[in-house]
Amino acid sequence: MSNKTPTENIKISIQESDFSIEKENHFLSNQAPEIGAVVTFTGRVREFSEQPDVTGLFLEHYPGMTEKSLKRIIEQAQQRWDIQRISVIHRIGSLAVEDQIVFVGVSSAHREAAFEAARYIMDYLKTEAPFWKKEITRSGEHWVEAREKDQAARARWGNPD
Amino acid sequence: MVRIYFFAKIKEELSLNFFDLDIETPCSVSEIRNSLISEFNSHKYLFNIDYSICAVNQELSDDKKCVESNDEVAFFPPVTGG
Repeated sequence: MSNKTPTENIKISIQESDFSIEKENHFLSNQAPEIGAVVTFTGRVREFSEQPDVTGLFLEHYPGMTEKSLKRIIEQAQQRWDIQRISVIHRIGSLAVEDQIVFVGVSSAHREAAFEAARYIMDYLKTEAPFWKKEITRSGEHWVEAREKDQAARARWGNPD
Repeated sequence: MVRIYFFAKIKEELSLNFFDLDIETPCSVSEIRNSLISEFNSHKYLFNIDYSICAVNQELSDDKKCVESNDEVAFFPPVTGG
């Protein structure tokens, strides 16, 4: 068994700088022979979104509430699945097309819990964590509108609140 | 008085990071919403219940939630991270 306490098993980071998927993989599985599955998701800034010709994004968040919100989402996932370690990183500030923007990684003894928990955390992050994207295009900039399909993705998990 | 923090489009449209709303407390989120609508009448759509979300002490709150004078209140558009 891992000697880590539950708090040490969770990593939440809101940062301007880029992140290394390799480092996160290490955090999720080092010195843990009981871990049999590591699932990671990386979101990137896409060229085509609401409008064509997106050249970049600006990411704003609500300091304090963001961390609280992510912590709660992770705790809900821990109640639901038998998972070992969780890492959530979200970048803020100015980002360019092809940049990494968000990371969710979950490790577990078995793949099913890791897959489901990673998806759950991502679905809730998109609909509850206070981040806002502004798209920068060649013809100007605009705040991104919330999307129905993200609400629908979250609704699949039922309502634990 | 209650200090209301704004984020994203609301902050940008009003050119304000926060606003000290003159309102008697305790009051409901709904009463705060209505006061903001009269205060910022030219931008009242920003405080429409279908447009903005309210957080009290950094927790998403519905319009019935009771607000005290020292509470941290924020209004923002639906979130779009990830």
